[in-house]
Amino acid sequence: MTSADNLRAFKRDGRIVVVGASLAGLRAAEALRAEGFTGSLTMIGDELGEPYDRPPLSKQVLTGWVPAGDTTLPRRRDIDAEWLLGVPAGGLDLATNHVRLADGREVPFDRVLISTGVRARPWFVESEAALDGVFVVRTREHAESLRQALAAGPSRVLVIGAGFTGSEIASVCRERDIPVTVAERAPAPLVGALGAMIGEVAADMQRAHGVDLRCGVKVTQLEGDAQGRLRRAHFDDGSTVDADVAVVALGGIRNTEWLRDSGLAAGVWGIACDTGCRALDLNGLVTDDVFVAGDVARCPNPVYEYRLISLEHWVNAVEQAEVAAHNMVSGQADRWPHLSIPLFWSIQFGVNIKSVGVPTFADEVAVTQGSVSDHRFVASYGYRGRVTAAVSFDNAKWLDHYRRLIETAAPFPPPCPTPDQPVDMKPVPVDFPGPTLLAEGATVVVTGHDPGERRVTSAQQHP
Amino acid sequence: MGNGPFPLRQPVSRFARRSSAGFRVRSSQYLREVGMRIVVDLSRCEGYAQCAFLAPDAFRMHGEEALMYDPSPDDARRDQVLRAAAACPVQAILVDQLEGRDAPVEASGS
Repeated sequence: MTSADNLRAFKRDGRIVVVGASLAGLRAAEALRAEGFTGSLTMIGDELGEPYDRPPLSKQVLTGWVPAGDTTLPRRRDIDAEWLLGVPAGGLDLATNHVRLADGREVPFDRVLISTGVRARPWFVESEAALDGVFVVRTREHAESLRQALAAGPSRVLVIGAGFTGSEIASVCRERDIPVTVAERAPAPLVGALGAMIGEVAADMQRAHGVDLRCGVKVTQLEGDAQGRLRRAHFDDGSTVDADVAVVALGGIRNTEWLRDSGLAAGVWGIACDTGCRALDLNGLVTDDVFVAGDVARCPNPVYEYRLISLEHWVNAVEQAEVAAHNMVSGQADRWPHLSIPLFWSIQFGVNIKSVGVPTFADEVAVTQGSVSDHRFVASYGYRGRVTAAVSFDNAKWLDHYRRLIETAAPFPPPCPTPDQPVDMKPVPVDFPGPTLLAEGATVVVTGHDPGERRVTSAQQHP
Repeated sequence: MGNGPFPLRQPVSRFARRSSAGFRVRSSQYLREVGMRIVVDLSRCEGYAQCAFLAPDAFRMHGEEALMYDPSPDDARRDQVLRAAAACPVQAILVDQLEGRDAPVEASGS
């Protein structure tokens, strides 16, 4: 049989298993059917119920407008799948091509897509995380619990972590007229993603809306009362705040532990893959039958020096799902590379914040359009004299312009494209605190001498 | 795979669902009876607000440019929502294309 015959037979009768039944998994399944895959399709997911959308959970759900159970994703087509929900995957055996479920069952496949995403990083002290009134927000159950707590009219909410999710939750609290304290280790909100200059703008915005913003502090203890209810938080500067609700918004943990013995290049940083979403094994070899998409994928981007980048962005999940699905049912010559410029949005304090590109891949930043004091502007990010990213506050119509600048490696700083030229367009150092996600790496050990024996093993995959 | 027969219907959630009459649990908490579903690709949305004008119950502006929406608008607003989706200058609104769908079922219980 030729490879074309094989491919035709696979598209007709093959077995595809999708591990992770959220946005990326669903969109990939729809794309597989749209590409003419008529074989068996199995969807494995640890949550019960149909795939749902997560961005509304920290916004319109918490305001009380939309019930948490109402964000089920619309479907573009019937995917005619077998759904195995409520049990997470426990292992992947690439010698026999089986996914092992946590309950011991084994699901065979010819090709597998891994889209297991991330989970909320819990509060680091288990007994304190278990206090009544301590929440994370990742699933609809989380969002529903927090919505109920906010509806009960807490005396004060403490948000731990002023990234995008934490800031959005603080915004909802102020919208509901609930007193809120935000605690952030960095010097300002959003600094880890967008740098110090935008962080200052975000801090102004929070304080203008009545947030008690405390930066440069670390929460050391969540204190409960005799009934096990949260009543107070302690900070490393000795101060405290009384609160009956705390939201732990310290980012996510990628769901890769189940791949520990799979031989894939998987770890806390995600699962490495090529631009075609094919997973790499620990030796850096591309696999033929294992694909990755969504938050858990760590994909090289040629625009950013081919560095491997993981993105927890909605549109990244959608685009990688399309590319992975296409490549799962296509021959080598017809494969697509995923070459998008990343896009992200956040809605907080009445402002639409959007970004294009990778703001952490920058050494300088400059306001190139609009007015910072009006909270209506675009800031451009540059790396070694070329544009690598842009962030807009209520100026989304211009982001496509900046996307083209990034794609064409346009010189930084770019000229202002509109008459609303900012007073000060001078670039300043971008000043990110600490290591960024781009710098995260793996520790491995190489063994063997002959080319046929050389192998990589992972030394610190899951610290 | 030895999974055994699955129950055909599983509750999506136990959450109360809003209706125009207020809050109640409605029968569509079961998978095969679903109302309208939409998702907005907010990476495309540029805040033209056409949707908020055409279907104000489902789409609301939050400040000047940010859009908030109800992912499960009341079926009574279906025509409004479809008009809003059609009018979106950047075609960011996706409306469910299915009437009946294949229902996910629980993996446990084999």
